[in-house]
Parts: sequence; C-alpha cells; structure tokens
Amino acid sequence: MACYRCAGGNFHFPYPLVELAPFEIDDGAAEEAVSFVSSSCPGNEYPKLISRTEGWVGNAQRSVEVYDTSQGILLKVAGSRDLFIAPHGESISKQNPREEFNQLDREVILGPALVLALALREVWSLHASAAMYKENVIVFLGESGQGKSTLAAYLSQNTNWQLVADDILPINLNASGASIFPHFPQLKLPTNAQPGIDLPENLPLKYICVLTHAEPGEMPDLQKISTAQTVQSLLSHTAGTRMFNPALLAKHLEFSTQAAKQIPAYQLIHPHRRDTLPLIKEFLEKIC
Amino acid sequence: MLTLNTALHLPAHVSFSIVGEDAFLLNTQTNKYYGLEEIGTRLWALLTDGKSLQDAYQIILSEYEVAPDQLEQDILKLLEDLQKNGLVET
Repeated sequence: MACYRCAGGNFHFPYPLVELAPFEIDDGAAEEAVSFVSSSCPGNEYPKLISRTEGWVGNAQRSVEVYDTSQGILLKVAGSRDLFIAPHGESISKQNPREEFNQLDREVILGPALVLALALREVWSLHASAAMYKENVIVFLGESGQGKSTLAAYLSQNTNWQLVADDILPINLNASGASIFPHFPQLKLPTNAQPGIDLPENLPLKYICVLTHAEPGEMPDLQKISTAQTVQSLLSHTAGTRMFNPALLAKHLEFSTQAAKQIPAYQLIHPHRRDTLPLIKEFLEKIC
Repeated sequence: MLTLNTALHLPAHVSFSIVGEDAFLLNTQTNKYYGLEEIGTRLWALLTDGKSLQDAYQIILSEYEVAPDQLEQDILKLLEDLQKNGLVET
C-alpha cells in the first residue's frame, strides 16, 4: 500500500505511483483517504451515459466515456481498465486492484480519474500555470500554446518569484476565499522538480491573469477584466468539465461565479516573445 | 410561434448564475453555456422570479428607455434562441 497527500487530500494506492513520489506520506498518517478498493461498478445496473468524448491520454487521442451510476461515476478510457469513482470522490476502484498498473492506467488515474475525484470533493482543476511573487499567487489561464508555461518559468527565475504550477492547479472556495493547492503532480515536469512541494499545502489565490493573443508587433498590456469575463475564463479553463454530470456542472458554475466575484482578474495581451517578458514581469509586480 | 402571451417553463436541467448585469445559463444536458447581457439578464431574473412573459415585458419597458415594438422583437428573438438551446420550454 502506498499513501500520498496532494490537493489537500490523502490518496491510497495498492502499488506505488512513481509520479506521486514527492507527495508520499506515512501510511499511518492517512485518514479519510481516497483509496483504491476492490469493489467495482455496481452490478445489475445499466449505467447512464454522461458523456462520450475524445481526450489526449497516454500520448494518444482516446475515447473517454463517463457513466453515472447510483453509487458514483464509471470512467472508461479506451485501452485502459475501467475505473469507478465513488460519489464523493472517496475512492477510485478497478476490477482487480491486485493487478499492477500499466503506464496507461497510471496516466488515466493521475489525469481524468483524479480530476473527477477532486471535482466530486468540489476541488476544481484549473488548466493553468501559476507563479508566486512574494506572498501573491498569480494564476495564468489561456489557450494551449499561449505561453502560460514559458511565462511562469521565466518569472520563477527572478528574485522574489517562485513557480507554483505548470499545467494543472487544484483550487477550491472556502470560508476564507479561494485557495490553491500547490502539492499536486505537474506531469509536464520531472518528478524531482515538482514546483509546489516546498510551498504550504494551500495558499490564497490573489490574482487571475488571462493570456490573450497579441497582434504582430503589439506590445504587452495588462487590463482589468469584468467579473463576467472572469467567470467565462474559469468555465473555459477548468479541466475535465466534459466529464461532469449535471450536478457537478451546476456546482462548477457556482464556483466559477463566486470565485470571479472574489478574485481580481486581468487580461494580459501576451506577444509570446522572450524580449517582452521583463515588461510583463514589471506589470505583474506592480499589481501585487 | 412565441408571443408575449406564451406561457414559458424553465426546465430543471438549466442552472444559472447572475453576475452583475450578466447571467450565465447552463444546459446541464448538453454541457453548453449561454451568456446573457443586461436586458436578457433582467428578463431571466424576472422569469425565474415567477413573472409571466407579459409581466416581465411590461416591467422591462418601464425600466429602460426602449421602443415597445423593439423590446418585444428583441425579447422574442432572445427567447427563440433560448428555446433552441433547451433553456426555456413552452
């Protein structure tokens, strides 16, 4: 049995997952863990299809099917074993937990299955990079290829800046506002270079920055955006929403609205050129 | 065909959130969002408050400087679009 703590929760697995090694905790310390258990999709039940889509999993485009059952969510990714996620994300199971995970199983578990399990706990996975300036966490949202990773990596090379996430950033709302969870596997980065591991388990999110395309020759610019635009950005840049059932979709809309009301957000016109990065850094330091 | 006297029903599969002058409607069956701006948001708020379409029209007419015919046309066009997207039913 291996036990890990990430995104504010404990996770038990029957076999170690190398990708989670930085987040390993003492087995005895794990309470209320999300665990792999031997039970599977309830029998004698015809699961209701929530979504059938294509997703990039395991270095290939694969069919991803999600079913609602009376006891949770059934996740079927082509080529991988079926996974069953309990209603409050408290467990993820497969037919035979004694079988070791193959590479694709691991990618499904650490990708869509984990995103769904977290969503069932009302922890949402932003497709984002993030960096921290002094005590201020700024999350960068934007389409793929817009330069989120490059920007966060550049900032983190500067004094008083630190990389927080590069791909997926879990976030939730609690009584004190929006919190992000830096302890989460960033699969684009090597296991021994996980950025959030030295940071506290959760941190308040101070700013949202939405990267947008610049016209040729256009200089960077940072402008405040409306709450409605922020809602739109959060809705668009949350991972896994195509797998959500109606109840989760409604909760996610509520989260996006409330978070947008609380977190100041900016649009960054981002030329995605190295020579403009120092100016962007200046803009960001000014708002902090 | 929709008219101001049509009785509208807001289906249970629609979630919504109002943010200032904007509203986000979500059809949880299709996983599609629909954004409303100021007058559309006001209309939606009145309808979800239980007002009939005719009453909502009269209230909006009294609140905004808009020609009655233009408002009727705009509201019916919006509702047709919402109906097409499964966000209202007759």
